[in-house]
Amino acid sequence: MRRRDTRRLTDRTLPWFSSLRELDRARPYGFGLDPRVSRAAADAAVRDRVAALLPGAVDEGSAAVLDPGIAARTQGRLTEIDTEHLDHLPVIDRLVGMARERVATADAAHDAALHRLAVATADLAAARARLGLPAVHPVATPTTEENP
Amino acid sequence: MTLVPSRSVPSEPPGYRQPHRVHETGLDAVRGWLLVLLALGADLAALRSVLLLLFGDEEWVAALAVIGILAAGVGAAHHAGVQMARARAGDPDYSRRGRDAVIASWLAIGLGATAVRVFLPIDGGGIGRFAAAAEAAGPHLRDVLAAALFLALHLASGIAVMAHTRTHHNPFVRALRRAVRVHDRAVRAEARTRAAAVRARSVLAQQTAEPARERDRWETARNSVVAEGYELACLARELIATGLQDAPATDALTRDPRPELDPPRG
Repeated sequence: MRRRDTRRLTDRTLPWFSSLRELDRARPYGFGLDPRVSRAAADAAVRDRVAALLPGAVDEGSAAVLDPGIAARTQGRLTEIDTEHLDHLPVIDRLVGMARERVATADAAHDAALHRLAVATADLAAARARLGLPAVHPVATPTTEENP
Repeated sequence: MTLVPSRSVPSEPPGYRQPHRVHETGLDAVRGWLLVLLALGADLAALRSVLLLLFGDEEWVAALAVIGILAAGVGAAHHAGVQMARARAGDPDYSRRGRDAVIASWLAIGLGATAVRVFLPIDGGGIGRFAAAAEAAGPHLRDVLAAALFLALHLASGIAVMAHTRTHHNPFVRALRRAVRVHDRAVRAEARTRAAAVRARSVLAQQTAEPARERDRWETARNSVVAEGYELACLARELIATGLQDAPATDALTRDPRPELDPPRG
């Protein structure tokens, strides 16, 4: 599971999670922003360009001389992030679907267990009655959020 | 769900209503069976000498026969005890002929083995001064005494088994113990599956909240990239101002360092 955490979960690489814990921890990892790499290269590029412009190619009105390049770089990275975000949405949908499936399975198992418990309780009551033992009334279960 | 039991069937034998038997400890039953087993052990020892008379040197055949005959004797005594318990409880399954048949077969086993011991004499035998006393008593009296001892053991162990079974045979108590065991298992299974269902719901809640988290992550990533762009724009302006070394130019260059990097999405 640790290896899986470090891998990007995309719609294609989404595995079948054998345990509920794995499904609980699954997230669409992404938005690979690493400022240590990107900032160093961008800073160097800006310094190179300004050094090339100085001293004669700029004056007090040249504030925005590098802005189009910076804006283009920013737009490119924003587009990458937007695309990645769109890729994450189906992954999340599938994770939600898997979680709903697990809930349905767990509910069915619980319903079956409740049924077996009801049968066992009735059998126990009948066995007690045959022996002339007094009937047992159930203790009232407090109503909670989980047990409405 | 109600736990009020259905009305008991009138034909159920009232004699099985022994609620005090329900809470018997395991030791109570074991103690009774232990006495029976000790008596059976003595019975086994006596029966072995009888069967060795019949099978001679074939020890393993004698051992098989001992076990088989002992099992048959115990089984017959047990079934006689069951019939006695049924008779005591007023059970419609009680059969007088069945009881008499198993008692007769049990007696036949004992009497047959006794007859073998009486009419097929053993050469020598006995331990220590008992051997000497047996020799003094003469071969026939010795065989009769050994046979009588065997018969007494057979009767004692058989009657012990019958009495034990007569006292402890109660299908209602057995059914209740079984129902308690099944109920305990069902309670544990219900608790386990309920916990699993709660856990699955919490996982679903986690994943259902994921779109909102994803939106936050997305916004954060975008803001981070835009902030990085602003930093680069500021850096460019500062580098130009540093290179020009002119105060009015520095003021003009750094007046509005926020270029349009992320136009509003439409």
